[in-house]
Amino acid sequence: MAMSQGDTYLLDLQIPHRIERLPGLLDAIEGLAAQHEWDAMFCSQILLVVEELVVNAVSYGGRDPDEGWVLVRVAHAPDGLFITIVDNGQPYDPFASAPEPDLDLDLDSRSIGGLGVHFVREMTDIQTYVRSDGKNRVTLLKRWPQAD
Amino acid sequence: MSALPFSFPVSGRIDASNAARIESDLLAAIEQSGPSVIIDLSQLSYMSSAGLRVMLVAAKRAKAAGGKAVIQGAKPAVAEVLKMSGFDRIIPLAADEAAARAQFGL
Repeated sequence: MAMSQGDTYLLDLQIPHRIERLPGLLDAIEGLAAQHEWDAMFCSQILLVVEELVVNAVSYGGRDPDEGWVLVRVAHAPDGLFITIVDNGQPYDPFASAPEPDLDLDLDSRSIGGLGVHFVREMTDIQTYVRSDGKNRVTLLKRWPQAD
Repeated sequence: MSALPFSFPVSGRIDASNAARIESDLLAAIEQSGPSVIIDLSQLSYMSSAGLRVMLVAAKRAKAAGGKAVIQGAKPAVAEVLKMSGFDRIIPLAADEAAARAQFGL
C-alpha cells in the first residue's frame, strides 16, 4: 500500500507539534471535500481520522513543539483515498498501544481513552504503521462510500 | 422538581484546539443556568473525541448537580461519532427541540 513517486497529492501539509495549528489542517481538508464534492459523512470521517492521529502524534511525540512536525498527505487510491501521516516524534504505534475502549460502561465510568484509535479502525479500511528512518508512518486506505 | 433545562448551542467544529474553551463555557453555563441542559448540536458539522470528552464532562457535571444533559439535533456525521463511541447509550440524543424537551417530561 505505497504511493508511487508520480502520484499527485490532493493534500500535502506539514505542521509543527502545536495543537493550535489543527484548525488550519481541518480547513484544508474541508476545502478538498468541497472541491471534490465528498459527502458530509465522508468528509467528517476523514477529518476525524486525521485529527485523532495528528493529536496522538503531537501528544506522544515528546518533541519541542517547533522541532516536532507531522506531515499529512492525501492521495487518490484506485477505490478511495490513501491518507499518510508521518511524524518525527518518538516511536509510537497507535494501533499496538491502544486498549479497546469499553463502550458499555455507564455515564459515571466512561472515559475518552482509546476512542480516537477506535474511530480510525472503524472508519478506514486498512491501517498500517511503520517506524522507519526515525519517523512514525501511518498509512490508511479509506474506500469511497458504497452507493445505495 | 427539576428546573427547566436551558439550551446551549454549539456550532462549527469541536476539535482538540477549541474543546477546552467550549467545555469551560458549557460547565460555567451549567453552573449558572443548570443543572439540566439541552446541548443543541444542530449547527455543528464535526466532532472528534475531544468533543466527546466535552459531552461526557458536561453530562457528568449535570448529573452530579441533580440534572441531566440531552443532545439535540446532531447531524448524521456527528450522530455517527456519538453512536460509534456508545455515547448515545449514556447521553440521550433527541432529533429536535420537542423530542429534547420530552426527555424532561415537558
